Amino acid sequence: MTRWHLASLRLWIMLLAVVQIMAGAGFVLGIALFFDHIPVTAALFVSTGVPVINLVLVGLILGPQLVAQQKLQQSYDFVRSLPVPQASAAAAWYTVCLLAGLPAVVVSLLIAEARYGFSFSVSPAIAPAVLLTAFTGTMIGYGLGHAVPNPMVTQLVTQLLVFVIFGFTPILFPAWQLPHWLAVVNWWFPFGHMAVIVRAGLTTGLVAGIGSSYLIVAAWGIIGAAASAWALGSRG
Amino acid sequence: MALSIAATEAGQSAGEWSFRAEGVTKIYGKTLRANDAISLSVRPGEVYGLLGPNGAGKTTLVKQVIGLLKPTEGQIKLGPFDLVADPDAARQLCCYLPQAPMPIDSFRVKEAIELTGRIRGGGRAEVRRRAGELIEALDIGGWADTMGQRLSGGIRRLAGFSMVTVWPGRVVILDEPANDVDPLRRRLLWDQIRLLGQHGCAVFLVTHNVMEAEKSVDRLAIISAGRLIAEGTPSSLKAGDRGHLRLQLMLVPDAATPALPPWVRQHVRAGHNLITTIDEAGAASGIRWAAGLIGRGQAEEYALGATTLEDVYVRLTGHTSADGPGEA
Amino acid sequence: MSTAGQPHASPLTLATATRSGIGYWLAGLRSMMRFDLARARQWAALMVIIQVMMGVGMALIYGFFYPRISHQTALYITTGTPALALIPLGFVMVPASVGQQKLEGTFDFTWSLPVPRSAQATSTFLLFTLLSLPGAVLALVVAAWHYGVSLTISAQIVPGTVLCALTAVSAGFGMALMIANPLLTNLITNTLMFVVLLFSPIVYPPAHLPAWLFAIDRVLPFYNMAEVIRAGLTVGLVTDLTRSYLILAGWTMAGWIMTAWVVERRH
Repeated sequence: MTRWHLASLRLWIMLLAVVQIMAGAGFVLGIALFFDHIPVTAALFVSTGVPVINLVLVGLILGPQLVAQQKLQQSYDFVRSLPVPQASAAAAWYTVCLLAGLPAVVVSLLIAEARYGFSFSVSPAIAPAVLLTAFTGTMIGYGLGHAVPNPMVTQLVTQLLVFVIFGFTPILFPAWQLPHWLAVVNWWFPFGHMAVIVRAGLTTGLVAGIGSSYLIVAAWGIIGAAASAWALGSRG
Repeated sequence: MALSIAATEAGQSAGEWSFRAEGVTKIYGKTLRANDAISLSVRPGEVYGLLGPNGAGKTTLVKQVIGLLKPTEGQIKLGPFDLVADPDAARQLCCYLPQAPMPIDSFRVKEAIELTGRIRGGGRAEVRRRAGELIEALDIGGWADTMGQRLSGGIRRLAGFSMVTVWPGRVVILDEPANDVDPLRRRLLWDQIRLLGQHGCAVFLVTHNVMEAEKSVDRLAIISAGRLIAEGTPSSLKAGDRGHLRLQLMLVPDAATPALPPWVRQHVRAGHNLITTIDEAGAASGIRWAAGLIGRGQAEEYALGATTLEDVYVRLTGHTSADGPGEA
Repeated sequence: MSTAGQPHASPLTLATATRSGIGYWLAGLRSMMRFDLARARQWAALMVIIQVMMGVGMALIYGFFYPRISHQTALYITTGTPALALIPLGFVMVPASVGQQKLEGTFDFTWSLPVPRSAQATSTFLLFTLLSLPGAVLALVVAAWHYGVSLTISAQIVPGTVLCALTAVSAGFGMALMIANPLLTNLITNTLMFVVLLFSPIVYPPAHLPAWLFAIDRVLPFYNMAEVIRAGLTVGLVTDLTRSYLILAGWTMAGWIMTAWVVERRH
């Protein structure tokens, strides 16, 4: 079942992967233009932050938008009634999000190394970081799409979210560059922590508090999954 | 009929505002003939129906009249004006109610009607008065101040109709005006359409609803696959069926079409309904046959009556109209 | 044919001749603007809000990327903010509105009205331009306050901002009309936004760009939009202002020509 799902989404995956690669590369290179000479820290944070966005963009933004569109076009109930076990559909979708983002992650890091002269110390910790980040992004997206009843709200929230994760979370820059209150707010949300755990797998000594970051990201993933399971399981 | 108009126009008699389409052809790409050499004429005051299956080219034709499309070949004239060469004149002299719902979500009904009337060139006081009359005549006074967003489909349609006819042109094009309108208000709508004719407008009525068309139009044209295949008054079109009767059988669900006796002139199967045409002289045999089918459990009911325009339509186009017999 | 029981309808006056000329054009513009204003009710408030949020939001966001914000950086960000507010309006929101109207079939009705097509287009442009200005101004005010820069406002700010808005709306409208498929338009505009906001020197000085990239940006409207507004807010920061005005005028005309070509032609 999962394989069938994947096969039908093959074209989508390729398209999304390409778009992501271009976006990721674009951002890594473009950020240098904002500075006379880009400080190393800024370049490093952007280079290690773009992969996070690559991993969550599809699941967090595109997913709920697709669901919201289904609701608006009134095909949602039909899709829900199909005899596809929800867990299997979710697993397939997770794989899509992961596959759509991984090429971009690799490419972004390679481009950063070439452009800024970095050499990342990739540790085995990168694997759980990547998998967990994609998982939480997908699950939150699932929750936004299925557990939020009003599709217009979903669409609005996802549009805002793009904005927010690019500019108001410490993914692409260190948290201390945000106003203090905003940094505190971000502690409760998974995004900054996603950046922490991914960064930990790529660098040494740059980030701290990795353990608590893992917990928070995992917690949000579980919340998203639970909310979706409840919404999809309930009738009416 | 057109007395009020003839009196106000100096030196222009009503006949000079006739509408003529000559050889109108619309070809898309190299081969798709959406309209194929359609010629027709409409006198002021006539309600002229354009009947045909979906995709026959009715909307394509009227869009060329109002200037949204340009004919590949052919001419369209209204009085002294060439509507193809002068689309600006076309829009001033004709008005058009499209099939799609009107974009009046954030308008109040009365407001939408009045604003459109002003756009069409009416003075403020006259437009207001005429809007009020239309709202009352169509019995939508209860929604006069309601926002378009909150209207049901039928009321929105009536609001759209009012917007277009509050300050009508010489040619009024109505594309499925009665869609979604409730039966009571439908009658009021047809009355207003007739009234437009009485005021001297030439009214184009595009519809797939054969039954209503039959009752409301002076003449009609049947368009199929881009061609005008029949034209005339409802009676003249049915003349070919003089001496015939329609025998309609409601078959049991999923029943196969029963073997047809040789005296059945033509037949069409639409869902559960089997509609046949027989000679008047064969009425008795027809009833016996139908009763036999019912007795054997192949049919549930039969109905015998005069042939309708629907039968002509079916014979000429090979389709039933969407609101076929047996459906309300 | 029952007219019994109908209230006696007033006689109708049907047109005997067609109107033309400047009087007709102006009357058409007036009545069309009334219509468009009423139609704008449902989205005007939302549009202004989104615009302010985008303009202010982006102004703040750019600042977060810098470990240290120098005075010049702050000045550039602040004076680039109005352009940041106007670009999405013209190149995302206007095309989205056009796309929606295409899907709903609205153009069939509006284009069948007896108003010259150029007057209809003018009404749309005027409306969007006017509605865009409060958002741009507000975004500027908030940015100036947040970054604590003081601006030297000169009279140029008025024509600069108006031209900026007009260019964005005209080019966006023309582009959206030309592209037949509304979904394709959506894809293009979103991609465009992403690229433009990164690679155009709107909030940073052009000296940061490699020469070839700057050459491209000088021809596109976006950098020039920022420049003409910046000229009205600063002294000595903007060079080659005339060229920017000319480029914007060119893009506006291009938008008008595309619009005229689409609305005047019949398929």
